[in-house]
Amino acid sequence: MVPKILGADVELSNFVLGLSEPDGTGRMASRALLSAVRGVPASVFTTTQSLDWGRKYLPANGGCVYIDSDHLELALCETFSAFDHVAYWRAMLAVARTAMVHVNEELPHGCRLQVLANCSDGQSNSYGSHVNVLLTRDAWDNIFCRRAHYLAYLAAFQISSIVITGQGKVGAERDRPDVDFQLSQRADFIQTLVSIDTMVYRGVINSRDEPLCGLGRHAADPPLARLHVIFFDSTLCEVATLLRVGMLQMVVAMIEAGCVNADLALDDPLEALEHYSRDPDLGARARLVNGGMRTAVELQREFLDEARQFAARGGFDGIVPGADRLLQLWDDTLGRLEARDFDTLSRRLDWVLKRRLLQGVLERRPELTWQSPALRQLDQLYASLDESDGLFWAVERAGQVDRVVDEAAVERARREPPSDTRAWTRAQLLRLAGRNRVEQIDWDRMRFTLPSARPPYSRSRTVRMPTPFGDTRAANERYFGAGASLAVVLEALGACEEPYFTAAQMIAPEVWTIGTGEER
Amino acid sequence: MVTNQVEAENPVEPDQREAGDAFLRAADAAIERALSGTAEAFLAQNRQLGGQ
Repeated sequence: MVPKILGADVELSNFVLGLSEPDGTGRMASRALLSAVRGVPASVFTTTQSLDWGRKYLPANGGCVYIDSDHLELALCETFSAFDHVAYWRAMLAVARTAMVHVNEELPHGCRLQVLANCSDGQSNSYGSHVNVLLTRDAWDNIFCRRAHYLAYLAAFQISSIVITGQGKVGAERDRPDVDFQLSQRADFIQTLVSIDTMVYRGVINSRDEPLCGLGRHAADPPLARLHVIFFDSTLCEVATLLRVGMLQMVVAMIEAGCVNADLALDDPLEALEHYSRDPDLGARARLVNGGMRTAVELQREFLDEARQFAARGGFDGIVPGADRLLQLWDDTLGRLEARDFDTLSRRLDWVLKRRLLQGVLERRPELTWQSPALRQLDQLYASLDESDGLFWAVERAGQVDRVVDEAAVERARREPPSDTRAWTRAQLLRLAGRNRVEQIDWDRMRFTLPSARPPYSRSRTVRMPTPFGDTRAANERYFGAGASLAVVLEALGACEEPYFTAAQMIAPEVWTIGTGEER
Repeated sequence: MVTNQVEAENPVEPDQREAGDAFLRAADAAIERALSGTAEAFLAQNRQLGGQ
């Protein structure tokens, strides 16, 4: 088993209010935002591709930002602790908010850049909030190639988790039957059980096989894989964000250990997702393969029981930090869901908070209905990063939502990388090299230029970091002493001379940014 | 690890349970501002490109 290292890549909604363009303003909005973020370009080569455009890594914390299909995308650095993940999520939202404020200062009167941390515009367009978790290659193969019940188990967990992980949204999309309010923003966009696609025909389980753990002979040992989870919504409540990744860490760890209870598999996962998402009163039951019927909360309770038994055997030791606290919070939250205690759940879960806010508006404004444009606007503004109109931030400022990390931790996550993943070494190298000496960066490798090198020696040096839980502060801090030069540090880290890109790859970077299967 | 973890075991204390909808009052100003604008224009300009 390997540590359940976490990551995330999250697309934001962005547009310029007060400006009409035939094709919308997403393109100009996302580019303005990206230009306002200081970072080191991931490549000296420029491309015209619309996916992964203009990527910049942040020397401050080792994360990065880029543009994907006209959305500013935030990619969180690797973290081990789910609590740290919450801090870095908040930190990256703060980076985007700062960029938004900067851009707004430059916009003409009457125009305002809006940035929303949600997953749907309410008009049948969805964008992702992906979570990544590390697992062994063997575990990956078991899920996708060998043991169908492992995949069914994971799907049942994800689908039932929307009672905790949903942001909630008004109405239905993609011509699905109308509904006032549903738990999951993504449910209407999930069309199949498994799919490698992310922009069309999205699956509950995404099978993109892109480990970001080295290639070929430079791959990590043992062979690693990355579970790319495209199913979840963006969440702003910290408890929901914490549980979203903490529960996933635990369930993936159990799968990796072969601790899989096939009796929890859903008979028709897509039908269950639709029923669960459209039932904010939490009474809907879905059929299991074994013939039983379960509500989403009942199913989550059974996953929790499995996780507790696994924890009692020490299964999470060294694999999932803070597992005891995560289990306790998972248990307590499920208890409140079982009791329909929405008063206190509005402090923890986005869909509950949003629903209660909107219900309150409807009670005070009898002229409005769930179908009113004003309600749909408020649904969107719930997740606005602008603190003057974002409903979530107003509630948080008033102390009406629970925190799991404090502001000092968030500020530290803006300025510093986590010490217990390779993000630490990435950030130190970025700081030492500065943008002029960086040729190319990806999560598992960095290439630098050393001007002092002379032919026949190559000026390029490549550092490989194939293991996400390697190259930590404890492992490498000794190399970054005061006055250490880039050349000396690179040599200490075992940087190699040979270029690792072929000429063809330099011309077409998508060859290596899109998983081809050859990585294995 | 960088995080100061707030006590997460059971963050909702009984005395924090609001008799009324305090969170609704908290969001009052933002809601009123939003409702005083033109929702149709906001929704029209919010149309996004489908992403991942």
